[in-house]
Amino acid sequence: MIDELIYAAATLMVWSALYRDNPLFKISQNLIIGLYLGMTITAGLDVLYTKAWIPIFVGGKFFSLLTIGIVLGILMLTRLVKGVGWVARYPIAVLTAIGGSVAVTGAMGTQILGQLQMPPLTSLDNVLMVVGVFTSITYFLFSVRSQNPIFRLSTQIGKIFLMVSLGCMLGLEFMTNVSLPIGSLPHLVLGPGAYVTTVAIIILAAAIVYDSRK
Amino acid sequence: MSDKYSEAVGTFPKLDRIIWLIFFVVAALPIIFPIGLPLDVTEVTRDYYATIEDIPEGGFVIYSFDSGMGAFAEMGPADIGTITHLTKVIKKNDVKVMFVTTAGPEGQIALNVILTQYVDMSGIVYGEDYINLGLIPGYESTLAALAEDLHKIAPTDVEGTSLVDIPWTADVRGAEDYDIFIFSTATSPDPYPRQWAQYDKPILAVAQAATASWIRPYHEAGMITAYLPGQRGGAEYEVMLGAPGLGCSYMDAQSLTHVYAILLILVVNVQWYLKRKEEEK
Amino acid sequence: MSFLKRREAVQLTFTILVLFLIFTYYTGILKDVRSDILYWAPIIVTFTYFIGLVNVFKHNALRIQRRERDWQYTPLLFIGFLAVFISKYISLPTYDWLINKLLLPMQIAMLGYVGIYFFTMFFRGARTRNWAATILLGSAILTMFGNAPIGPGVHPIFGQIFMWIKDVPNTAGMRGLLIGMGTGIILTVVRKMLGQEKALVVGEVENV
Repeated sequence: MIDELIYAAATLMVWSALYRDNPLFKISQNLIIGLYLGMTITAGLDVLYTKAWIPIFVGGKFFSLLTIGIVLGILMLTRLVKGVGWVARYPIAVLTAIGGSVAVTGAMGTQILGQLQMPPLTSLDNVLMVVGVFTSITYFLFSVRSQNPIFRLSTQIGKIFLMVSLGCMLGLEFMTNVSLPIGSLPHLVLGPGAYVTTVAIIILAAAIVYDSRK
Repeated sequence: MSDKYSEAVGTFPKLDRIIWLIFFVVAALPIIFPIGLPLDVTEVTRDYYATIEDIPEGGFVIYSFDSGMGAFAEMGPADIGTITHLTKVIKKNDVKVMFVTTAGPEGQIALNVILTQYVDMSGIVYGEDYINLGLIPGYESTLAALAEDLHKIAPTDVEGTSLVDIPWTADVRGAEDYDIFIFSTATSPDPYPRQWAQYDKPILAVAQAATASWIRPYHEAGMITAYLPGQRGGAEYEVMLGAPGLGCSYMDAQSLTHVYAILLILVVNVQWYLKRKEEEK
Repeated sequence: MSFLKRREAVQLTFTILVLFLIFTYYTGILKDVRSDILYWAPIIVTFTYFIGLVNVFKHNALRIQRRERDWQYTPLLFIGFLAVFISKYISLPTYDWLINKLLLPMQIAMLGYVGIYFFTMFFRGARTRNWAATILLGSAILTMFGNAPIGPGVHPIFGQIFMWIKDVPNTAGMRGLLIGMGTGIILTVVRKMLGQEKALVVGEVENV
């Protein structure tokens, strides 16, 4: 029961800013950052222990490429030291190179070649699909803006498909984002949390009356 | 919300507060008094269910759990449903599951919440039926490495036990030994098919509703086998499993808030149109 | 040493590594070395967490020192951090409680703001000013109504309309976007390799 009360109170502390900025919201803001930071750092230490310390010092892999990874990580920390911060560019370059290379090799197959494979033109939907893909691509050719009427028509059709696409994304985005407050509501209106909500409503009503008299 | 904001926008916040208040009432009422609107299970959810159901005897599942705590309200039902179903196939077909988090520490927190509070893990033994590799940050590079050389990227599980010492992971090298990839993400779904689709293994996705439109091209191209989009996907999966839970309880509120949002859009546009007509006169 | 400080040295490191990793990917030669190099990424990323920690601490310590607005609440940040850090190694149940019962609801509520502000966005910004906006809003409304269970409940046609929008025009547009994105990824990496992306080299790093 205590946990449910605290869950509801924590949620309402954050949402109290919907009415007005107040000390409870500021407390929750700072707590979130502090708790999250603690969680991240402890998780990072766990990673270093299980994925670096154990293989190197317990598994005996000191003279391996793994050690270079640790050295690069430590070099990253030079970013915090005045005068030698330039050293941190190297681990950043390594990280970017690793990320870039895996993205490039993956993008070629799945995002370019895979998406260019068109369905057979055996139905109206498939025809629309093919037309939509190619006209959408022409819309993004900003550097090839042309007075050619066919090209301009293509970009306009592409724009229609993109607007439909973005509208669909907006509708789905709405469902995503409204899921979050809805997910908190059962803790506020059912069970012990309802008591906390009742108290919060009374405080809110008092605040509204107080503000309206000011 | 601050005084400066209020001063800057005048009466803006007051009207917004009324809109927000109506939202809370509209969303809370069906939670207190459930309506029970019928929910159709879509074909993609059925495919998702069938894919897990068809995991072969002794199959190996790798589950990249990258959804965050903040997205738990949306993706929790789908993740809970997936893991519940996996526990059933573990018991039925001696399937092995390996969890990992590649994006940030939040995934591990959400995973632990689900395993300890929401899924019945009785009869499922850590180390024998499933393991957790823990957090291996690096996102796409970790996903690539998990498929190429498991033991290099994950020498131990989250408890420090070497994978070589666990019988069913000792000989697992990479994607060729996995039977199915599952991922759960609250951000972009692109890295997963980018790194895993090349291995021609089934890939299942638990994603936010917003990213469902993003996953669709991969699904249509056959790179992603099936997906569960957001709360609705979770609710449909609960219906498939015959165990309505969190997801189904949210659907009535989803319906009413959607109707409210649509009415809001229509009302403001009619009002704006009439005002423009008046100004033109 | 002065060569190592130069932009060209960093550029060379990046280029050589990218080419090597792409080479090993497509040929399979030196696969073991590739696996070891991929393993560097999680380690380097983990060290960046500590950089973030120092920066956040420094920024907030200065806020307290300078008595900036609402500085009185800032010590809670340090208290929260210490509570989680210490409890993780001394009392796991306390750690679990702090994360699952305190941080989790606050995190969900904080992200819930976006959902709430959507209504403000619809109220303030959703205007059909031109044909493109009309199509966008029309598509959004049909999606919202068809995706929520109430739409197909009113009439199955709404569910079918939503599925059609998602499966045909949306997928077509998204495929175009994905192709653009994939091309952009490759071009960005090529530009970085050719030294045309100066963002790789951060210049004189502003130290803490």
